[in-house]
Amino acid sequence: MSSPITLSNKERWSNFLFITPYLLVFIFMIALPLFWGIHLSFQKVDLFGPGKFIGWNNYTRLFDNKIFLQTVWNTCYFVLLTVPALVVIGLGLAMALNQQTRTANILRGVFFASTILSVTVVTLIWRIIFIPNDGFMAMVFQWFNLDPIPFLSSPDWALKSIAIATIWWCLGLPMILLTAALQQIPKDLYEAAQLDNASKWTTFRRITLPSITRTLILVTIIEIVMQFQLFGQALLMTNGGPNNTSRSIVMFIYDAGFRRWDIGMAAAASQILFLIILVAAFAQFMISRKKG
Amino acid sequence: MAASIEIKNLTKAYDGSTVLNNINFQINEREFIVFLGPSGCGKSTLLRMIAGLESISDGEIWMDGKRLDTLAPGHRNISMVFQNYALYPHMSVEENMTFGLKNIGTEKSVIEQRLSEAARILEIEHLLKRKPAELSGGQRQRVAIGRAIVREPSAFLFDEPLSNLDAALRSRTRIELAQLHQRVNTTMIYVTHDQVEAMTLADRIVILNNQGIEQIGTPIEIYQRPATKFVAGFVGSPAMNFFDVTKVEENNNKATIHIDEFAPIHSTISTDGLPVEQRFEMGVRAEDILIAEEGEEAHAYGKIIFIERLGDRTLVYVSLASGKMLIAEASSKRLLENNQQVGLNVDFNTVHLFDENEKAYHGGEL
Repeated sequence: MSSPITLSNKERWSNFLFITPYLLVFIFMIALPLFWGIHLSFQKVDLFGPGKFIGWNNYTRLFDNKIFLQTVWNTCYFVLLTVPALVVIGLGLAMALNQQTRTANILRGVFFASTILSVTVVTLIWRIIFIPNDGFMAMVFQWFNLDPIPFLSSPDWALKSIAIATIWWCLGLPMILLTAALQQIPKDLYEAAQLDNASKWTTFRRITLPSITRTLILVTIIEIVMQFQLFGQALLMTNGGPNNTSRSIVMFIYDAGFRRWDIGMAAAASQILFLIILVAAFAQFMISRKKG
Repeated sequence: MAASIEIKNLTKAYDGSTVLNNINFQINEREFIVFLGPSGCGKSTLLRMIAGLESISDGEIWMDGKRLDTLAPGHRNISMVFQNYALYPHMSVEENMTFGLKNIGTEKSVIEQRLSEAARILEIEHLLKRKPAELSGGQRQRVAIGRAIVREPSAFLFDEPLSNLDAALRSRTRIELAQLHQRVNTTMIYVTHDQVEAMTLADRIVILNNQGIEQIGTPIEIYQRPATKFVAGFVGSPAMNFFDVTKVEENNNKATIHIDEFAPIHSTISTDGLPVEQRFEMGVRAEDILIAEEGEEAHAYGKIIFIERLGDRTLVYVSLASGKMLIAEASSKRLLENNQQVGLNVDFNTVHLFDENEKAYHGGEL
């Protein structure tokens, strides 16, 4: 018999066998493409021939490109619009529905339902809502005798409208994760707080929030990573318009790579997006760590 | 600062099933009251209703002549120590203890003075800056008590506070709680299912069972004069021995009890209050059935099937001729063996009779 610490060769190989499937996926679908992408970003390539090394050229081209810079700004603005709203509304819903009643269960299901819809369906629904003249919002505005807002065709509103649709679409995950976190908090803490005369606000600030910090960080980072990759909604609702005011980085990458076959520059833009997400998520992590 | 509490017609029902039905009793100022009962008897529910953490289906709770049950938990001037301590995990010990005082805007100097006083009493001064996760079970227990003390409440509530401690720590903390009661001299209500805790701590014990109160009394009353068969069987270890009575005869106004396995037992139970034409059961505690000396005339005879030596005393499990088993007590110095035939003598003064409604009748003096 082998001792519990040193594994026999056979055991070692069988353990390895268990992680092999994912290891293969990780190496070939994640790690290799990542480095291949970095490699491509320093080349001038199209899909028809071998690439040519051109150093930082793709990157300098990008930073001279006004449209690219605008997509960077648009995407950051979009993240600022959506992520805080998703976390705050998600937490609000989770707290409101954190009870074991039938109604709360059904409502949780309803709010989560939008998450499982495909982006195509989501944009279809919201285009119907936002459509000028006959859309739902237009009807509401008419009721109150207000001037209708051209949600998808105004440069001021296009990105915000996409943000609204996105918040509706993505709300389910933050809500469910935060509900799970809330349910981990022992009930007697709240009872002790009641006896300690803590107001609702004090209870929230001193007991609820500190107890769910980890999940709040997790949810925020997940949403930062997800929302920086805005693509489908923008493509289908406004196609980046009007005047590129709702064009996202991923749309820029898609246009550069698959419409203009400028693979090198698309790869370079991808690396920049990767860096932005990494920095944003890391910053969020450090900030919340400091507070905790 | 101590308060008297009065419970009037208190009822609690969840979704149609009644947990507590029409509870009435009074807790005196500075009294240490223990709610004792089997699990599910509603003792914790009763405590939580006094704290305001559980709604009341019907009835009223009064404290010092003021209606209590209409007030929010925080306004009842009551502190509670929870079973799992319920310390706020993200606050230091100091913050845990002063949280309640800060919430009601107590002056800083008062807070500091009470904090240092409580920390000194409980010997937790060196722990004030730590978080609950860095404390041992016993230390958490002290902090939870400290959090209750600093508020200087009119009454303390304890919900099985010792159940998470190991045996040694439990008996030490039990003594400390008794000392704490003497020191702060405040009304205390304590819930437990542990009868040793109840017997040692209580001024009076409230025995709860089956939606209601079985008996309220001092520990000695509860032990020596249980009001019902339930109390007789529930309190005391080992449990009381019960025998079916074949006949109760009057003899000089006292009951003579006939049991198949025993010679007639001339009890001191008065026949005056005894109902007629009823089936009775007789109860005797193990310590009141003594193993007879060898050669001595005895009330019953049987064979030892098991001996439990507890050090200070020895419990002897005896099988009678009828197959009935009872537990008797012998001095720890007696040499006894399994399968040995022994005689058993019953102390006539300490037998109890229970009628068909399980009401108890006692002889002798308390």
